[in-house]
Amino acid sequence: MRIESISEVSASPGFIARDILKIVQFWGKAVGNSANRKRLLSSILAYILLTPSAVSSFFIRGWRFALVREVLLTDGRASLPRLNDIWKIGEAVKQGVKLIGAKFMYDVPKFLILFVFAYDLIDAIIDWFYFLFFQWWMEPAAEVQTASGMVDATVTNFSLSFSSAILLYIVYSCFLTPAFKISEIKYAAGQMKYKGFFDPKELKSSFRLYRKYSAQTLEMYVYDNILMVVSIVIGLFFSLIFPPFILLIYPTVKLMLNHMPKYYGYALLAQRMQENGDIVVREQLADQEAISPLAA
Amino acid sequence: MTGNYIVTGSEKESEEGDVNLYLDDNDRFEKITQPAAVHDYPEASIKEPSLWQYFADRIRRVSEPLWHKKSRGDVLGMLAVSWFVSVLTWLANFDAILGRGWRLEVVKKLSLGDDKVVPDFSLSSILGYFANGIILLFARTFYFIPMILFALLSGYKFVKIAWKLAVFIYDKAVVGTDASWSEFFFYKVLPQATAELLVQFLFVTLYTMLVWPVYRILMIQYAVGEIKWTGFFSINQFKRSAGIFRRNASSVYAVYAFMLSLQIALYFILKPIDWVSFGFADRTFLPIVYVIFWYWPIGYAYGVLGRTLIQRGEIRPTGRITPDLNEEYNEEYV
Repeated sequence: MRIESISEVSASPGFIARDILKIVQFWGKAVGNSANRKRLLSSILAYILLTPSAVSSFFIRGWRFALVREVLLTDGRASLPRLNDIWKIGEAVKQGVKLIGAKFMYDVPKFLILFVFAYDLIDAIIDWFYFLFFQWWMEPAAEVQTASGMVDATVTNFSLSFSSAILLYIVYSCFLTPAFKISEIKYAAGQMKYKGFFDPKELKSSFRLYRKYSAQTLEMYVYDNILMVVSIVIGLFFSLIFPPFILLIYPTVKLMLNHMPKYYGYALLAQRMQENGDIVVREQLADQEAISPLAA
Repeated sequence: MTGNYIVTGSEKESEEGDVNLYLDDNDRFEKITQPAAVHDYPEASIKEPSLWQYFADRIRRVSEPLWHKKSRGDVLGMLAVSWFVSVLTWLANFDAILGRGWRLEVVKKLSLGDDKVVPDFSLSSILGYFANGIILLFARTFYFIPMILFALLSGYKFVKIAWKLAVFIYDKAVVGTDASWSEFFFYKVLPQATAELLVQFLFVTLYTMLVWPVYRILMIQYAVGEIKWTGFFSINQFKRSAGIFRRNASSVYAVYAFMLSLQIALYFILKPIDWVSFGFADRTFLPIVYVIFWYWPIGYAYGVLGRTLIQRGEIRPTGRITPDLNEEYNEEYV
């Protein structure tokens, strides 16, 4: 018999493999279990119906939030959010609007700095594009610049801007974005109010939790990015094969292969925090509106 | 130290998954529990209704009053008048004004719990729908002013880009300059146009998600008689309605999001038909389609929202409420 402490366990290959297995099992339960399948189909229907107005992008963030909350409230059961009337969908949209607002505030510095780097890079990119596409490929005879000359002319600008941008992105990805995810978990648990996203004290406590669960948080963040790329590629592939059904296919693929598994990953992280007593789950969100019998 | 541990490699692992092993301060075994893991199923039974069933049921409920015996005449009357007005005012599009006013009456009737949800068909009531339609058109235009101003400012920048493009083409074709297309596009068009589109997207999103829903609440308040038409243009009233929106955001978004999607989807389905027919469809059979698939469901949905807000005490109607706000009524319509 081997014993591992949840709170102290490192991101060993075995642990990562177990997490991947749990996510795959969860996916299987979502598709295989009839009650879950019904909720999954309801979620897909809502996502598709809201796509024409682009409200779907708010809805899906709220849905992911609800998924984490559902897993926490049901003590780790592999259950999807219950969406069997429009009022629950409205709640998801509302939470999505709030989360996008908070995320936007976190991302403003990143956007500004990346914009400065991108502006600096744009000259070099245009020069290369012009050289490769027009001089080198379309009109080789009219070539006035050699490839080595191009490299010499742009290498400093490129390497400096590009490496700075990458560095910034890594710093953001490794610090602020995962800390935001932890704040999101705390908010989903009902432990933190919405204004906590903008409260330095809460941010500090999220960083503290992040330091404790850094390996697991980054592990989930890596899944997050991998699943996002995979779902985009698969979604585009099927959409290109069946273009008339793009509004049906793309949301379905995105929900099943991206949003659902990746946020179950964050739910697993949330569960670990809950089991270690680092977050306390509350039944009622602090700012949740009372649903009247009419809307229930 | 009491810790929470995952035990792997135990005998039961393969059949029952992980267990939690609790140790006491001396690291001695205290208790073992079975955590609910991915192996567990949700509590929901198969009987839990799905969203498909919910929508099927709501579509039935929403469409039922339209062919109910006691309101059939009113529906046919409205369809006939709508068609007649659209033909009569071929270019002025007066049927849209009538439709808006009629929809407002649906909102009022459903919010106040009128027995008959379909608005009456009589000459005086038709004139009333026109009057309300004009007020709504003004209010709507007023609320669109920031969008219009923004579109004009943004449009001016696009005109400047287009002007640069025209000069570029002229120089290339007439003057004979050997300027490069790619350089022009990447230096003069792409950065400005991209920045402009991003700002537009941000503005439209903020407006759609934060301002327009407040206008919808004002519309409901006007329908049930809580505010007069001047309320649309009052800052204090706007603040009060924004407060209602903030406190009831999920219910407002529930109705608003689906109605917005319905409107956009219908727009993309019906407008091409209109364009292909050179506007003929819009003056012949589309007014009837609009009444059934546009004004009616939207009016019904906002009526349900109005009913919900009245029940929560957020909106205080001045009109008579019949029947009382009871569950029987709620079951029947909502």
